[in-house]
Amino acid sequence: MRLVAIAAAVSLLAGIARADKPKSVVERDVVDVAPAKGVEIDAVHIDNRLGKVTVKGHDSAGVSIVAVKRAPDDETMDRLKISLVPDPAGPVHINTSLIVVDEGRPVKAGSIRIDLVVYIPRKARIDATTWNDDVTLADLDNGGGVTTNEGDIAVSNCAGEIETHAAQGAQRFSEVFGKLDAEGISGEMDIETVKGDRLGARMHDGTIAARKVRSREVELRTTSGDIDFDGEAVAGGTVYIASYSGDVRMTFRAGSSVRVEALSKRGTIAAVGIETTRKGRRVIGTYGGGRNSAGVKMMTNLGNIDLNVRVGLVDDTAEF
Amino acid sequence: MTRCHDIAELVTAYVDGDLDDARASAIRGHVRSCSGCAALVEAEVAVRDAAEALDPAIDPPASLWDRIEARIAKEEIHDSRRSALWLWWQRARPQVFLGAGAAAVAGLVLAVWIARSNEGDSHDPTARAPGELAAVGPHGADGADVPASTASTPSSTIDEQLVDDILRAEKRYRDTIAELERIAASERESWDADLTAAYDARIAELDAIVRRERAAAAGGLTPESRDTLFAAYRVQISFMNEVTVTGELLQ
Amino acid sequence: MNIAIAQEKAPGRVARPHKRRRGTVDPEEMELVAACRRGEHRAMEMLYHRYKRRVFGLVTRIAGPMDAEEVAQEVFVRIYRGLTRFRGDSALSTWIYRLSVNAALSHVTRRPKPMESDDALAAVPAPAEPERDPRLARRLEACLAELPPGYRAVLVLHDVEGLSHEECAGILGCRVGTSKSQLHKARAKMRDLLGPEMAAERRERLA
Repeated sequence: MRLVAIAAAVSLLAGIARADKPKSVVERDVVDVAPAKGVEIDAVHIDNRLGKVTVKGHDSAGVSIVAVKRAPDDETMDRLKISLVPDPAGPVHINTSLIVVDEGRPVKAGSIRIDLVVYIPRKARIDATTWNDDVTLADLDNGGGVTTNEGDIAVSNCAGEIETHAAQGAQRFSEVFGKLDAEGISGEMDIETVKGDRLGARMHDGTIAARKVRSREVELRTTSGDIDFDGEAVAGGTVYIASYSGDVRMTFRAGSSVRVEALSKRGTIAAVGIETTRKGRRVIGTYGGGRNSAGVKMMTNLGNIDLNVRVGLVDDTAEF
Repeated sequence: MTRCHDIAELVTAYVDGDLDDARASAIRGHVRSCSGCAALVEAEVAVRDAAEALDPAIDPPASLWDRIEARIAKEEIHDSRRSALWLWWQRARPQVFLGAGAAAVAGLVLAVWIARSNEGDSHDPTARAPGELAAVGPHGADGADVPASTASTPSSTIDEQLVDDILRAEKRYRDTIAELERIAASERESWDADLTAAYDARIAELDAIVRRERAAAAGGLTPESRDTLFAAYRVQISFMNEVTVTGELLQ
Repeated sequence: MNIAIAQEKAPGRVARPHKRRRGTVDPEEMELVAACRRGEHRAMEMLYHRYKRRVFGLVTRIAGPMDAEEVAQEVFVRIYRGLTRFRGDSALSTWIYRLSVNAALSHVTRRPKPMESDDALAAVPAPAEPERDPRLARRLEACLAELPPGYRAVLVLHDVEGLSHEECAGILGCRVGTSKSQLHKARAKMRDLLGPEMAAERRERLA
């Protein structure tokens, strides 16, 4: 024990000694925004091109902003601004900027940063934009939009209508209820536990993996990149999974009846657990004979198709 | 029964040894007793042999290296001149990196942006000739992928990095569109006339929007101008992806 | 008579080892590439000399002898600019081929200039080794300009350069099936252009 204590003390001292010569200045600001009297904050817009954005829902009516700012020196730190524009009509706008002045030295690339953690009312709708940094959303009830160039996107425990756009990066969604439309150019999408009206995911050059999905309308599409889908076929719903050159692999748990159409122009089609007939390059299968079938369509040009039908619902989707 | 029409279709595969034994043997048999087809096969072999006889390597004139050297030297000068422009711009006291509602920065900055991004640009929406493999430029400007991180020199400033980032982002969008154009060109053969017409019409609209946004962005390097330009690219990519992957118009 | 000849000369793929190119990783070349990336002028010149004949041959045949020098210049500038992004996941030669074909095709489609056959014939340098039927080969070379650029590219890559359909598809960014059908159409068009005299010449030579 004593040895550990001494070691800890030594490293602490070393840490303090190093702190004498800071390579950068760090500042942490907390700002609380209370709504105007009688007005509810129903929308929050965050535009931060200088760092990350994390948004979490909380039970209070106001907005709390925790900003961590980094700069090479005090003078530059003074130029890092977070501006707040509370709108009497409701939406709160949070922007970040670096003010450039005459006598100021040119700022070195990568030496400044503003990371934001923002707490907003759960039922406020969020719109978050970053440039090349991550966006994280959690515990929100009214959906929102995320736009980024190269940041990663993570959304968890959110409900409502959610829309994302990224040029490059990973997008992760977990426990989303309602409508989700995720779009990316390259990267990967990982989707787990989504239920509601719609799940739409589009990548140009990247993979899509979706598990525990129970949405009425599912549309997954890539130009190149495999698609893996494991979910329920909702009665009367549609599932459309298509790729140009990627493989399409689908497992679905059939509680009700399903009609499947699979087409691979140059690859193979394998189907398990469902009766199929072949019509040219198309494979048609039906499971169950109910009237309100789910319609499933799987398509790939150059890849292969794997279809797996399992009877009954998975235990941990019982809450659906 | 092998017919003369079949031979015409398969002659290339036949002379290149690409056909399975059964069909090759059937063709050999037919050719033995059909002078027309025999002549066709001979002609195909003659063309192939004539092409193979050409030496793929040709000596370029000695002046070629000099011209290349001069071009490279010019590019390096161009880059260092940009630093001078940036310094001037810095002294002009603009505000950068503001969020929504920012004032426009000197058009000078955007002139550099547009000039540079036009340089390596082989994708020209007006030069599209659908249906021809060759008319659609394969891959992007040079067939290479966009790197995951910019190679910015240690001494670059945030504004230089921003311009590099924007150019890279724009190039990524344009390369993606070029790639989708290639795929669309090869998929068109299987589309019906209605789909082809609808696709071409929509692409023309989307191209016009992109061109307008690029022109508008030349008025000032604001986050909104690049946002709307990139949004226009994304809409186009989404549309092209939808039609080329599914072979139908879903909306 | 022609029937007898057809029987003798059973067509099939002729092995041409001197034209086969395989994508392999060459450590010496990778070192050269690294030096080019560092901006070392001597390395850039060495790379140029290593690839100049192949690049120039390819762009001459696709873009035409008139524009070959301009296009070749463009190709090498793009090579040096693009080397920072070349990841080595395909062979350097494949990558350079792709740049060359792209540049030549963009040039052609941007400025389609119908070439005069006579001028073309005069501009084409004499083949290094007069193999087989030099007259026909030279006439084919002159007729290349009359093929649509897409057909020209496949014919040059597959027959002149000796690449497989897989390699052609990789360079042109199309499917293997498309490469095969384009080659078929290219050869058919070339058969038309070179005319019936072609078969007569061949019979003469073999008799």
